[in-house]
Order: sequence, then structure tokens, then C-alpha cells
Amino acid sequence: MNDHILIRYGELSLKKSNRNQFIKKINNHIERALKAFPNLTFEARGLRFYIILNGESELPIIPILKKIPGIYSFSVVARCESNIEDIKKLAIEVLKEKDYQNAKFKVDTNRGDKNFPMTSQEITKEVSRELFRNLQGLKADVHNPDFILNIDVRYEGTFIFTDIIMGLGGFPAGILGKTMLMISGGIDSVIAGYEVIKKGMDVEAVHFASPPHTSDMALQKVVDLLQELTIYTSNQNINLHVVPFTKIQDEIYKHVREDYGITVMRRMMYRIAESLANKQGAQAIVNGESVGQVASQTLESMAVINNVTNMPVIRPLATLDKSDIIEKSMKIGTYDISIRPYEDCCTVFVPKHPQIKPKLEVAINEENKFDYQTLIEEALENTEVIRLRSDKKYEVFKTEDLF
Amino acid sequence: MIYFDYTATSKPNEEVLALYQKINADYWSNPSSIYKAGVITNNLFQKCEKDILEVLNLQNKKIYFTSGATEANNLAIYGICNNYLNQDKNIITTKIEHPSVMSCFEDLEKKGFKVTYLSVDEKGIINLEELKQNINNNTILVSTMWVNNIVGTIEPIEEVIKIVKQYPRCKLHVDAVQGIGKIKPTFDFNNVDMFTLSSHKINGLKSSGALIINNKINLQGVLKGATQQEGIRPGTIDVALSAATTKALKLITASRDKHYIYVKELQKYFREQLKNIPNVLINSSEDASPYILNISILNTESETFIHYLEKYEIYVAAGSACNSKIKKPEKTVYAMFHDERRAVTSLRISLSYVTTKEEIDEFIKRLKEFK
Repeated sequence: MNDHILIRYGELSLKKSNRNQFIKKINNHIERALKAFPNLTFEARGLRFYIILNGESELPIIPILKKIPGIYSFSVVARCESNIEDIKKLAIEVLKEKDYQNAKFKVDTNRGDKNFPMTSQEITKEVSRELFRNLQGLKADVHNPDFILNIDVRYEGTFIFTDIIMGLGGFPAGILGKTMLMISGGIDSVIAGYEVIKKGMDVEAVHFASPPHTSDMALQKVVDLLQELTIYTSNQNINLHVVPFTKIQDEIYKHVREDYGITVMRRMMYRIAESLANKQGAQAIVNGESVGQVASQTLESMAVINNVTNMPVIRPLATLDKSDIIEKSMKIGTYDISIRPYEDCCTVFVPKHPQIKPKLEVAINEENKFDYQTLIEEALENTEVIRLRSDKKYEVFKTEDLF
Repeated sequence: MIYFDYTATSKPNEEVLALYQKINADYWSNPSSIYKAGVITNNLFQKCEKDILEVLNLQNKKIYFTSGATEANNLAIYGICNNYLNQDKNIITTKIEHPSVMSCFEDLEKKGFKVTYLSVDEKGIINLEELKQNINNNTILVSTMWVNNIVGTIEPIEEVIKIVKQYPRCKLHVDAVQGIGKIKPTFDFNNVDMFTLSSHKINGLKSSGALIINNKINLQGVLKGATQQEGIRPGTIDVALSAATTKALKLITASRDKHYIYVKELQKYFREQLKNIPNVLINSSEDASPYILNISILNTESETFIHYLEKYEIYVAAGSACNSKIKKPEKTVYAMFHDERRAVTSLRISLSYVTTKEEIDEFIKRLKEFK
């Protein structure tokens, strides 16, 4: 009976001129994400999109839809021909599935098909009458219903449903272009990535690895974090650029005054992120900085660090509280990965008293104490790319295929 | 040896044993260790979880590996009920459960839970009307087996799901030990909150089983310890054993439908041979699992007949092996027919895809010779 899923789009109304392109993008994303269910068929009708289940269960599909950017909400719906007799019959069937004896309901009709011979009020009345005639213990409450029986009369058929499941919102994945995400392995940066993907941007990721100060386990952690994000992207994959950062970090430690170590390190990271972004055609840098959280994230530090690039830097978490960020990470399932106890490039060589109000001239002076330009070029040359896909877990340690 | 007790246990598969050996030889480090060797072992463990969910077509589920189905059943039942101690909650099970479920309910009854034991009809099918009458908003758990281990009845889980679903606070646990890998389910396991499987019933190894539960359920672990398996089932993870279970499940599932057709044919043959033998009653219904055939030989008590067959190296069981040291009428057969004689003379013959017609012929020959 519940044989369709009706998809409603998100912020599209804002963007009238691009609407068709946006819709096409989401629809393609949905079809790609549901590739594993060969029985499904799809029907696009203007501002609505139907997934026809053809016998598949909706249960495994719902969590997938919840991860597709640009879907505002969706409903599992039952469909019949647009005539009042069929509508009445189907309405009874739909209500039977609900725990209607323990809840109050109302009927809400939306008549999109203006050729239908009854008004929406007439339909509501007639269907309600039929429901009360057939279902014992039914209780109506038009002001404070526990659930609404929605009847959506349209040219292509009538759709009846009771539940609206909220989607991710945002814009269709990838529609707004590409960004370069700086990812450490902590709680924040992966959430920053999640936010930009949700808002319609693709991400390439850059991670700074400093073996032996950091381990392959730390890299695995970054891989696992990003893997959690692949499912949200339009192509179900994310490229991870692993930059060998040991030499730069060692040189900073050797030459730069201790309280400026982090400032200079972040400037190096920004420079590398910008170069990679340019190479990959990414138009902005994204990171998990949140104002005031650590020494390098004071406004003064951000100014000195940001000074190395003109590229827009998007900081989706800039004003969020740590507790909100943690809550988000628990919700999307990255928290448990983020708290694995491995050192990352930001936690090694942390000075006892980092500068929270660094001066630009001092920073420039300090970094000129070694030939960072050559080291950056070398690091870029030796950067490795790992292609992460939603359907295959990438293992930093190759494990034998035993079973 | 002619073995007719595959419901009690089955012979470990060679490939499963080889895998167990291999992992113990090459990947014996602790999967909770943070160095490379530990991480690699942990990768193998994660593959177990992933493969099992995949082979059973499950989404949004998680697995706890346990020391077998008994522990898994305990974890499911106490894992839910321990959240509701002294709150006058209702829990429901059936009269024909395996002792590893039944004993938990009996214990919880003593601890103040109101327990309903659903009766069964002559086919061993649970009374759904009783379920409907007894379940309410105060019910927190329904536990029923999928395939009965004594007579093979396949329970209407589909219907049970529909009924339990109307009570959002109530969780459904299904002991699926005798069905997994043998019977194609007519329901979707995704709709079952928790279910139990066992390794050694499907040519895996003993002391291994799993509880598979809905992601969103918060169980209270029964054992207290470190944080392995989310702390819900602490204790050093036996990756080799988990992998063996995974492998066994994969192998048996790949051949499940082929085996089913073969064993169904065997069962039919067996039933035909039993016709017209005086004093023999068949207790299993025709639509039960073909893997189990329960009969009563009214003129002899089960134990006498088992020892008679044993002389010819033919092995069958009286009721459940887990409880066979206790002498009382077999409870499932009794619950079905309310006939004590039939219950004390019942035998459980269980078949496998390796059983042959010749073995059945031998059994029939000895049965006919029995005085």
C-alpha cells in the first residue's frame, strides 16, 4: 500500500532561475545513492519527485534519503487514482496502519488538480465521514491533532500519507562548487566539512601528517572521519590529500621562537591548502576554527594566519559553542572516531604559552629564519591522494582478505 | 555414525576451522591495542560486523558477539529489563522457548515483572490473540523464537512484528538460532528490534554467537568490564572466533535455499517411511522447519529408545540436549498436545543437508525391529 516515497525540495524557492538545474542535481543524487535497490523506479513531476518502491521496503531507504543535501522533507505515501471512491478506500487503509485509537487526527486535503470535481473541503468532509463509518474508536481534533491524514490530489494521482520525515535541508550537493577542507582528526574540522557539503559544496580534504610524531593510526582516523562524509557528497567520494609535514614542523621547532610556533605552523598550512585548492580548482578554504577556542583562533591570531592568502576562508563553526559542535558530531556519528587517542599535527609541539595576540611582523620575521618556500614545494610534490568512496572502507594498514 | 541431532550441534566446517587457525596463528594481537598489529586485528573484527550485516541484508543494526546464543538471549532480555526494575512492567514470552530465554523470564518474574507465557496450538504456533490481549503500553519486551528447537514450528514473526509495532516502547526479541542459515524468512529482520544467532548450529564453532540489535536501542550490559563492544559486552574480543562465525554464516547462507529444497525432500521421505508403523505419532506439523522431525513412540520412553539406537551408532535426541539431564515431560510437545505420554516418549530427529536417504532407511529399519 505504502508504495511511494514523495520527496520535497529545500531552499529552491530562493533560486528561481536555477531551479531546474538544482532539481536535476538532487534527483541524480537520489538515484545514485539508491543504486543498491534495483527495483526502484523514479518519477519527476515539477517540484516533486517520487520514488516508486515496487515491493522494496522503505525502511533501509529512509536513512539514505536523510543524508542527501537539498531534500527538505519526504513522506512514505500511498497512491491511487484521483477519484473519490478510490481515495476513500485508500484513506481507510492508511489509517488502519496507524495507532488511530490512541491518537486524535484530522484530514487535510490539498487539491493540486484543479479539474477534480470536488473542492478540497468537500473531499475532506466526504473522506472523514467515510473514515468514521468504517473505523471504530476514531477520534478527530482539528485544532490539536496528534497526526494529520494528508490527501494530496494531483493530476498524476492522489497521494495519502500521515508522516513527514525531515531531510537534511541545504542545497543540492556540489552545486555551488568545490572547497578545500583542512582536516586534523579532531571533533571540529570534520563537522566544518559536513556543513559545507550540506550547503551544496564539494570538498577536497587536506591533512598534514607528521610521522613519526603522528602515526598511521592518526591517518586512519582522518580517513574514517571523511568516510563518514562521503555519503553526503554528490559523487559519494572525497579525495584526501595527505601532506608530509614532518620537515616543516621540525624546522619550525628548531628556528621559530616557541610562542610563535603555532602561528607560523598555521601560516604554513594555509599556504599549502591554498596551493592545493588552486591545483584542484577549489574556490575556498574550509576549516573548523571557532573563535576563541584555542590560541590560534583568537581574532588576532586569525588575522595574522589568514594574512597568507586572499582565498575566501569559510569557518562554518566560527561562532558555535563546543558543546553544540560535539552534539552535531554525535548526531552524524563522527564523535567516537574523533576521540580516538592519537596525536595529530596540531597536538604535537604545543608550546606552553602560545601567543594569543601575535604580531604580523614578528610572524614574518620568525618564518624567514628558514627556507620554508622550498620545504612547502617539497611537501606539495610528495603529497599523496587517497580516494575515499562511500561503498568501500579504506584501510591505511592493508589487511589480508581472509574471509 | 548416523547423526540425527543437528539441532543440538553440527560439525564445524573445514574452511571455518582453517580460518580460525589462521587468525590465531597470524593475527592474535588484541584488537583493542592502538598499535599497528592491534589495528589490523581490529580491522578484521570490523569486517566481521560488516559482513554479517551484509549477508543478512541488515541496515541500521549493530552486533554484539557473545559466548553463544545463551549469553546473547540473556543480554537481550536483561539488557532491556534491567532498565525497568521495580516498575511493575509486563514482559511476554511463549511456553515453548529455549531454556536460555525461559529461565530469564522465570527469574524476572521472581524479580517483580509480570510475565505472560503465550500458549501454542497443536502445530506449536503461538496464540496471537493472547498476545494481543496481553500486550499493552506497560509491556516493554516480547521475546519469541522464530523456529522452535524441539518440533521445528516456524512462528508467525511477521504478525508478531505488526502487533508489537503498535507499542513503541515495547521491544521485540527473536531467538533465531534454528532458523538462520536454514529457513528463508518471510519477514524482514530489519523490523525485529533484537535477534540472536548461534555459530555451532550452522557448522561454526561452539562458544560463539551474536546478538544483533537496532542501532537506536540502549541495552544495559549484563557483564561489567572495559569498553570492548561499547562496554555492552566487555571482555577481550576473540577475533578468530568472530571471523569463524562470520565465515560459517556466509557459507551456510550462500547454500541455504538449495539445502532447504534437499532437506524438505528428505523430510517428506522420512514421513512416508514412518506411515503405518504402529505406535508412532508425528508431532511436528507439516509446515514446520524441514530440519526437524519430532515423533513420539508411544510404547517406549525416549531415553530407552535413544540408548537402543545408540548401539547401532544412530543418534537422536529427546527434546532439547541442553535440558536432557532433567527428567520431565518435554515441555514443547506437552504444550502442543497436553498429553503426558506423548511428551515423555517424544524424540527429536534433526536433519541436515548432509543427511542421506540411506541413513533414514537405517533408522526406519531399527525402529521396525524394536521390540
